[in-house]
Amino acid sequence: MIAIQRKYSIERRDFQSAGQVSSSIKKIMKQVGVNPEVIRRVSVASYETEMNIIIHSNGGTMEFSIGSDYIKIIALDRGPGIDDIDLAMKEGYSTATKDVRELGFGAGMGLPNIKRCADDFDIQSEVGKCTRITIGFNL
Amino acid sequence: MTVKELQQQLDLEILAAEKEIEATVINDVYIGDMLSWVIGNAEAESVWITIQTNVNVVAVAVMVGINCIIIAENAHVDPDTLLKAEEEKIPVLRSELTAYQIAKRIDLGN
Repeated sequence: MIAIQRKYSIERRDFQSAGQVSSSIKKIMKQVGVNPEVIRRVSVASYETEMNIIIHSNGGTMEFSIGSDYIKIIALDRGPGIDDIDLAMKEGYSTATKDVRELGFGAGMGLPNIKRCADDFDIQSEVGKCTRITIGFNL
Repeated sequence: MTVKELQQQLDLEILAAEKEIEATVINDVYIGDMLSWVIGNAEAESVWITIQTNVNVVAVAVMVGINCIIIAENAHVDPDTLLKAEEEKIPVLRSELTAYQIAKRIDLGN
């Protein structure tokens, strides 16, 4: 399989374009014939990651790469950073505002969903600077 | 069961992607309005019953592989949502019934 790399820019609170990055990633995976079960896990994780950047950050980027045996997604935002990562990882915990909850987000399942879907998961955050999430999937 | 059979059985109003209803098959039903619960738990090839109607429901359906969305209790649907559903070829149907009443009437035979 030929290695493919894409980098996407994501804007804060851009709910109208929400899901476009994940949709593009899903199309690439379909085109190169990734197993449907893996496509599903990557799609869920990439969508939740994309929504986290839109809902909680000041904007950022997502990098997607696929090689012969591994898919990697790196999400990097421009802050504000996560105060307590253990708390943020807890199912049901959310800092989403009321307007975002009205759209159906803010269940506090985003990060747990990403971790559950991924084979490798890493989150690093510095308050006032950025959050970086690295997600990997074995093919 | 196809979406068309479902639509006829429950007398559902068709709001988007009418061309797809004959060929689209559903194998499961999921009810929910919190998007992360749906994306984390709904099975592919499901029909999804919800009162959530903003454009993000279509993206969630695409990610999970949900085949059809039924809007319960005649909730108002954003025009953007229907445009997106047409684009992604996901039928959106609507009923005046509650999610429970809709689900009760769906017999998948399994």
